[in-house]
Amino acid sequence: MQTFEYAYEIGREVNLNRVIQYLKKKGTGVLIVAVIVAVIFGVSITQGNGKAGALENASVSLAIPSKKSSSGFVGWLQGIYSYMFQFDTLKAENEELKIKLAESQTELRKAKSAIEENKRLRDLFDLSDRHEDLTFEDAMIIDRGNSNWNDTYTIDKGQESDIRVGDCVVDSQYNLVGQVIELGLGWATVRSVCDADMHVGALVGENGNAAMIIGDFALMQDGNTKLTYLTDETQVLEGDAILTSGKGGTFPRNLVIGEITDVRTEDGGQMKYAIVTPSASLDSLTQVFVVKDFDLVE
Amino acid sequence: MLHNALNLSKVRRGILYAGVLLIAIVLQNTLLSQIVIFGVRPIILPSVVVAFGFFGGGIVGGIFGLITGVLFDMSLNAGSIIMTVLFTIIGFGSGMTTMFYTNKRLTAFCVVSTLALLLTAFCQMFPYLAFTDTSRVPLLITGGLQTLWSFPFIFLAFYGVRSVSQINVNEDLRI
Repeated sequence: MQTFEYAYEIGREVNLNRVIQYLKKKGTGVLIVAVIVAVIFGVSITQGNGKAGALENASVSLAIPSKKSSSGFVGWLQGIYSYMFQFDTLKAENEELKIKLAESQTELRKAKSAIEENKRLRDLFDLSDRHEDLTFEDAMIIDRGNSNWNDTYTIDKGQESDIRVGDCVVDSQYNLVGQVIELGLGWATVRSVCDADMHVGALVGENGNAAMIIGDFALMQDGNTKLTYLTDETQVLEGDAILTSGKGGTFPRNLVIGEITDVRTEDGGQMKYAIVTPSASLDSLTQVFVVKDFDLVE
Repeated sequence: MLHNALNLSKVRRGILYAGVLLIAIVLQNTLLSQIVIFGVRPIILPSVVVAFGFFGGGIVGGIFGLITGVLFDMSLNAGSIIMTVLFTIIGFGSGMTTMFYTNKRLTAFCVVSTLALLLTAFCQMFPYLAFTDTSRVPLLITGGLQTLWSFPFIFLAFYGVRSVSQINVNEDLRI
């Protein structure tokens, strides 16, 4: 037994020495190379200001065809599933949408009449027009991101379409979808409005009180986001609409972010915050519009 | 002269491993990104890096871990280099493990891969833990689920890379 223990200790010592020698001989080199590559990669990220480097452009460009085909295949499967198992639901939804369309058309006729009256009154009192011109670039979503730690999309337009990092992205109903965070040739990465790193100035409800949309990881998993920095005077109720404030010049004003679905109190018990469900159908979006430029004219 | 300077068998082995890596990345970005259970997707790349180390040795594991980490950091759009360093260490460490401590069988691979998946999840949640006041519970749940859903793909990585590593690359090419 003592012989065995002695041999075991000798073997352990020899093995440890071999490990240390191997680490010194090979591990140091590998670690140095890894650190150098990581530093170069990190510097290229920070210096790029959101624009992808050549290697990333090449890797994403190579991946785009497979992403498009897999997204298309999944969409086709989802379409078959919907047809087979959700036909009745879709039919009922179609009828409901027809009713809403008829109501919207009635509202549109009233709005047209109001616009004409507004124009007549402006001409009468010699008031200049106030409008916000938005320049759009339409794009298709080709990938929905494959990370569990952020919520991003890849679209099929990039630097060549004069899109810039920081441009906001909306859907066809002027609902906020997200913000461009990375640009490449023929592609761009959009951070979703639900992403944990999202920050948007917001206006709450009819009074338009100022607040902030700040992403929350837990809420991101549920497809929601957080409205915080509410002042004491701000009244928040479930169902209140949240719009972009336009402060800071990053986002145009009055884009629809979502509506409040719950009001809660922070852990300390003093500050309240609201849970906001985005109005954009983020799970089923296929086409989006990048706001490349906007002017506020008074 | 170049023919004599190059170790062709190593070059061929490297090309085969590069092909496996490419397949793993395509699989990760296409099929696995569509499998969402309780809002969490599985990942296969840490297991593939461990497999490179297991069957290729520490240096091969380190090199392919470095390449995989760079590509993984790019795809995550996180603007960090954590995965670059982490996967290098995982690849090199798993190679060292088989050289000095374990055999190359499935059980040992499962243990090392699970540790690699847990380490990957921890490094991914670390920015939220350290720099934000995000609640710990959803982070831990996401990390745990990510590791759990990734476990079945450990077998795919093991058998896939083992099959490639058993291909004979020492035959001379005759034109």
